[in-house]
Order: sequence, then C-alpha cells, then structure tokens
Amino acid sequence: MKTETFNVIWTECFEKAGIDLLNVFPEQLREKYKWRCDFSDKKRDEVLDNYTQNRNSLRKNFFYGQDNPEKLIDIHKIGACFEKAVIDAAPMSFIADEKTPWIINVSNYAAAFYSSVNMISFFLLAYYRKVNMDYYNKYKEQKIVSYPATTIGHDPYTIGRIKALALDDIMEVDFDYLSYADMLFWIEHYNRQVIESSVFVKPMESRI
Amino acid sequence: MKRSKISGMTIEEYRSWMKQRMDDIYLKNESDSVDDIVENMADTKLYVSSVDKSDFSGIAI
Repeated sequence: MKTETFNVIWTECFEKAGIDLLNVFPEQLREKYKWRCDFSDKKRDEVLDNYTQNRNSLRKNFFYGQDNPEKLIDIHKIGACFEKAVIDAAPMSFIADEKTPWIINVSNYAAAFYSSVNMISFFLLAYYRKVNMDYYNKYKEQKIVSYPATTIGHDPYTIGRIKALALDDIMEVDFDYLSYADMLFWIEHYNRQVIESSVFVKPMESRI
Repeated sequence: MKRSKISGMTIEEYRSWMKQRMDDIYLKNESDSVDDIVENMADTKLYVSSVDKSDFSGIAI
C-alpha cells in the first residue's frame, strides 16, 4: 500500500470514525473527561508502522506465494490489520477515574472497530461506483452502516463487538486476524443485502 | 503422551507434519490493488458512517 493510499484511509476511515465517535456524546461530557482523539501526523505514522508489521506477519504466516508482490491480500484482511494497528496505537485519551463512563474507557477499541468498518464501507462504495451507480447512490443516501439486529437482553451488535475486542485485549488473548476479517466480510455482505434487496430478480422459470 | 487417530501421531507431531504441507492450506490472495481502488475514489469521500448513534441511546453516562 502506497503512503498516499494510507493517508486517504487515515482521513476517510480513521479520522471520520474518531470524529463520529466523539460526537456521540455532548461536548460537556467530552470536556469533563478530556476525551480526545489524536489525529496528529505522529499518531498516523505510528498506526502505519503497526499496520505494516501486522500485514507482513499475516502475509508470511497465512498466504500462499507471500514473496510475490502481485499477490495482494483482500480488504477484509487489510481492515483487520488496520484495526489491530489502531488498538495498539491507542489514539483515544481521557481522564480515567471511577466515574468515567465505560464507553469512554473502551473508546480505543470503539475507534478501532469503527475505523475498520469505515474501510469496508469505503471500498463497498468504490465497488458500487464501478459496477452500479444506483447502489452507490442508495448507499450514500443511507448515510449509516447497517448492522444485524440482536435480540432483547443482548447488546446492540456494534457494542458487543467493541466489548469483545476489549475483553480479548485485556485478557491477553491473541488477536485473531482471520476471524476479524471474516466479521468484516459479513458486515459488508449484510449491507449489500440491505442495499440490493429491492433489486428485481428474474423469475426462475425465465432462467432455465 | 496421548496419541491421536491420525497414524498414531501426537497432536504436536501432526502439527509438525502439516507444516510440511502448508501449500495445500495457505489462503489464496488474488485481490485488486487497494492503491488503484483508492486512486479511483480520489474525487469522492466516505459518505456513510459506521457509528450508529442509536446504539448508544441505552448507555447511562
């Protein structure tokens, strides 16, 4: 990945996730806990270094023909490497005390999760732009990524995923790149289903 | 040491044996270049947010 490409991903995916996350709560609360996201060039370079290490390790361990630069890993794996890079760089800062809301305490995991989903979203927009402008416009107008509904008594899907990231990291469970990439695939697929569900499908009898 | 039913190998021996056959199970990777994709998106932005505020509505702060 070129540095220019990473910079676009940093701006469109990471910075947007950080800003949208901070905006979930009112300014008064953000100020009370000095809740901030580090968008500096230094932090960007740290995430890039982490990402490069993660990606090289993933390629080396899991992929056929890893020495061939023509063999490129897919966006879901790239998203997983980026997600772990953000967790390890911990861009969110805040005053941690007994009264700090738990969602602020886990906000580094939230920033990492939302950044990686933004990556999937960005590349889905790119795909639709190439193959179907109706879908592209529909996704744009939707404005928010869709997630599967959970049943009563359970966390919303996103909150559950953020908690899972936090639990694994706190309990020192190794990050599972391939499973995380699989999750990103299914989030993308779910959104494709939502966007494309109104598409007219030819009756089977006309196709056989 | 406990022996598995795989030719009487232990699980460690099995893993070692499989490491000699990694070409069979390595993942395939024939993706498009992210550089090309991002370059083609240069004049556009990410219009969709991954943060759904409604997920936070039940959180006491």
